[in-house]
Amino acid sequence: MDQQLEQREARRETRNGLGRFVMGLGVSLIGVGLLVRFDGPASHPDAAMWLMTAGAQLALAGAIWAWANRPGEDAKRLGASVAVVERAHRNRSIMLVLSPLFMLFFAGASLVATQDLLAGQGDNIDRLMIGAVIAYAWLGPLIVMGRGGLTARQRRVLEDELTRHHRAMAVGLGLVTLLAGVSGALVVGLWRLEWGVQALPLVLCLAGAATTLRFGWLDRKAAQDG
Amino acid sequence: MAELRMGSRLKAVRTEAGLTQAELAERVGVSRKTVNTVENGVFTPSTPLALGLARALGVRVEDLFWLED
Repeated sequence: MDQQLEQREARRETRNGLGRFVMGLGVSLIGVGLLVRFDGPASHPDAAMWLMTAGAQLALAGAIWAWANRPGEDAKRLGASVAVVERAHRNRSIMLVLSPLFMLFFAGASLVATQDLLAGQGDNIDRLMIGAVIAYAWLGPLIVMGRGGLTARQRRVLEDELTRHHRAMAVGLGLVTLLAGVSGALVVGLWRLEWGVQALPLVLCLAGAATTLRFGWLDRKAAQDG
Repeated sequence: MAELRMGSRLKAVRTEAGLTQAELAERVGVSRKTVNTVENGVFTPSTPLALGLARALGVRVEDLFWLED
């Protein structure tokens, strides 16, 4: 019975996650549409309208789908069962590994974007890249700190003494990386201002990745028997 | 001041009680990883957690943990 309940809950969580993803995709399309619409003289109103309309439809469909598959009584009954806790830990580990990969991609793209913006030739896509770097630099540490959009139930099963201990160690490493990176960017910036500014997105990504990977590594090590 | 080191019989007591790490973790309200790291000596539990583990296993906390010389 419990196993059936867990399987049903796992399927519901997948559908709920899919709904949220589609909603996020829709909101992103609206954002891209707005950027295209107001991208100076090179704006494309027709393409922008198409993107925003498609985005709004996707966001609405995703929101309805996520709401239709929201946690119900089954989720409450399962509560902190072993399978649910293990699955929540596994999902967090996957996110902790994936977010630095995205960070790496956006950090590379931000170098070109910052260069264009500093040269006065930047467009909204460059600004979007910088925004994405900032967002992804925050995402990993937010997950580590238990603030990554977790539900109350997820927070209950993910938060314990060991998590807080690992968090303190990971955030400590992130802080040291951030201090060292910003100090370096400041020194370089005094010499060549544009290099100092260009280094900042990389420093943000490095600090975010250091925090995230340290936490993920400690979490993985804790799971190993020995 | 010399660093205090803690000895543990958690794994032996848990095994004697016929519990898995996951079952003990569920009883105490922590993750299996927490029980695993305490058993391996990687993580030193707080006083409330040590007391909680002892209560879940039906033993005194001194039967589970002690200070090593």
